[in-house]
Amino acid sequence: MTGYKMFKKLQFVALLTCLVASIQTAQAAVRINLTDPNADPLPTAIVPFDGESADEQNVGMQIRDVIANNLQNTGLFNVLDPKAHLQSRQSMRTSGILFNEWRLINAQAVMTGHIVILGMGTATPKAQVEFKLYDPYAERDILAKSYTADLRFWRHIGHRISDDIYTQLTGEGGYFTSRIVHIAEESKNGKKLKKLCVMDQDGGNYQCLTDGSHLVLTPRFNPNVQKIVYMSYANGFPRLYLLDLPTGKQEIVGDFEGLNSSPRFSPDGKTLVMTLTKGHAGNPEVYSMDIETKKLKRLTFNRGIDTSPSFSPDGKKIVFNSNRGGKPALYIMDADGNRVRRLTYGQGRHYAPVWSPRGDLIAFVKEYEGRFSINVIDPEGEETRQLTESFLDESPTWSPNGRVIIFSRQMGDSTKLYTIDLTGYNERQLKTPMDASDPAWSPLLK
Amino acid sequence: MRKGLLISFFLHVFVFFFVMMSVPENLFPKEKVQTISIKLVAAKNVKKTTEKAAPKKVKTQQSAAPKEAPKPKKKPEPKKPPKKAPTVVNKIPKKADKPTKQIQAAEKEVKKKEEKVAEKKPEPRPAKLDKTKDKKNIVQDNSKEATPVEDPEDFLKALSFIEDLKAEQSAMFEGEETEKTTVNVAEQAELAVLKKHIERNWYKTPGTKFINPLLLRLKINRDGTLSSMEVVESSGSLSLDNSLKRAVRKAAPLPIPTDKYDVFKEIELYWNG
Repeated sequence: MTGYKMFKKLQFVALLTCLVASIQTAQAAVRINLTDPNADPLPTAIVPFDGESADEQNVGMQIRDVIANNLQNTGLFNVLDPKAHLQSRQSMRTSGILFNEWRLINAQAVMTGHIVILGMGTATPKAQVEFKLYDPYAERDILAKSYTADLRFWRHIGHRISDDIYTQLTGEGGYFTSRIVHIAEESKNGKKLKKLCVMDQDGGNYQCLTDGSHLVLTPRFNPNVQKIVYMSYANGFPRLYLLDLPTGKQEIVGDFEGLNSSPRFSPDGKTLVMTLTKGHAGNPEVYSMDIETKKLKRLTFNRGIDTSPSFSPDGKKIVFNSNRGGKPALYIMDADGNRVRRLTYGQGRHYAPVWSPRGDLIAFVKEYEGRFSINVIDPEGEETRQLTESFLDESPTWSPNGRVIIFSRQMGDSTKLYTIDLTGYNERQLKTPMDASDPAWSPLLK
Repeated sequence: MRKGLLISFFLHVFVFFFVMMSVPENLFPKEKVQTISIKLVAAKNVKKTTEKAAPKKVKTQQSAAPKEAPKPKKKPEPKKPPKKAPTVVNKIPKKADKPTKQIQAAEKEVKKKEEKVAEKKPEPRPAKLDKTKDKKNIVQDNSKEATPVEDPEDFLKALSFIEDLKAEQSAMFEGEETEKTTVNVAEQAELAVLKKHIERNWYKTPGTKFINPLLLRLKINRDGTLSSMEVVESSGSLSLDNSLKRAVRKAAPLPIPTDKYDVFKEIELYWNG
């Protein structure tokens, strides 16, 4: 009996001792809650690719510049001027990378690389590029890769490496190996010609696909970037066309009566959503069409205008624009047209929704008191954020990683493309040879 | 039976005292008294601290070079064993001056603040002062040269740093609620300095998707250099984990007070979006 009581007491004492001990250990480490990290662009060194011959060094420098330009334009990196690099090419060759010299110029990451041109002088020389990314503070490499491609595609190699570095340092997918299709506007003999043109995400490899003889609008890429769907007045009526990029072949999507507009592919590329006015007294409704079978399905049934559909990245939902509530606002429905709910309320008119490839935001245009702005809203409709504002900002489209938006801005007579980070910072113009509008960003190229 | 009771009694008494002695204040929180320490310094003196802080900065840049906590001053530049890097590199700091000028300027400023805070710490009084209800305690330390100031304008200048001090103190108190620490108010100041020092060195990509909180545990050597570093809870993004590690390496040697090494020898860094 007493033994049991003693046991109980001892147990109690033991418990208390444990408690005290645990407090003691909790005291061991002090905790600091970090709240306010440095948001400055990351100082990064991109060293020109080294090569044996002058040709190789030349191409190496050009690739380096593509990478540096890509990273700098994100606003997230501060690419250090090569003139500020302390370690020379010679020193790098003989003694490898000296981390201390890179820490001295505050480089948080250093890329070095080497280029060899294979089959120089033959019809199809190839570039073999290998690179390493170093963390000068951990004093080790954090990424090493090599690419071999036709020398003509050296820019492509630069974009690939940019994506690798971006992903490694930010933890997000890259977006540099991608293209942008848009409508270029050219004045010729007093006439304004609208052409369908494509370019790399940085403005390189510029190329026009139509000659401007017909009005073209709203081009969109399919998920594997092999097809472009767009609206054209080629036969005198607004119809949708499908352009096959490798063959250059064009086919009409369907010759539906009335207005055929605002086409967009589903994320799996098998379905097309669009706006048609056929058969209901000119009232625009949203339709989907199976591209293989050409089978049409009506998704909206409302006396208001329903238009501008855009799929969520999982393909399960569609956001669209409707004035059924009195003024144009955004609505979300299931991909089969069921369960419609209103997404945006409040001031102004809301147009042109595009679901982010990341899925967490929807970009749209808001018009309020004669000013236009690009905004983003989460799919639950809880938080709206305005990113830009001007006399006329239109046609937002997302980068493949859902981080950057390209839109067109009209200033006076000319319309240009601009990019903005989804944080609302880093607005900059994307240079194009002609006026440009109606941009659509492709997914990442494979 | 009696004996048992007796043993039990003494054991209880023992445990009671043991607990009372060892339980830290945070179980019985004291009222927080905001102390604003006022230091009387000659204007010249203020300038001096600023100037002296400047050359010292370069060292922090040089990776592993150990540093004598907050009051280094007279040391010139020399004998610093760099971490692993080759010795040749050691002479180069001058060259780096240009590219890093901005950073230095920024960090110079911080150093300045650091030193102010550090200077008023060493005397043991604050702990006692905490209990008094006075809103202000005029603590006069800095016995070296409390010479009277001649130029009235300079005097105002000399006083202007008090505003900084106040701001810093209030910042400390703001941060305090979120900081789960067992340190007392005096040490909060050093913690705030440490926090700022690490944050400044932490380049974090803004606007990335938040996944999980990040917890990094550091073990610190007596000279502020890093003994070890371990990710206790990953943020879910290797890039983010690495960026904080890089920040700590860059920030080392950490500005911890030499006389309170036991408190600061182990530090947890926490990021919650």
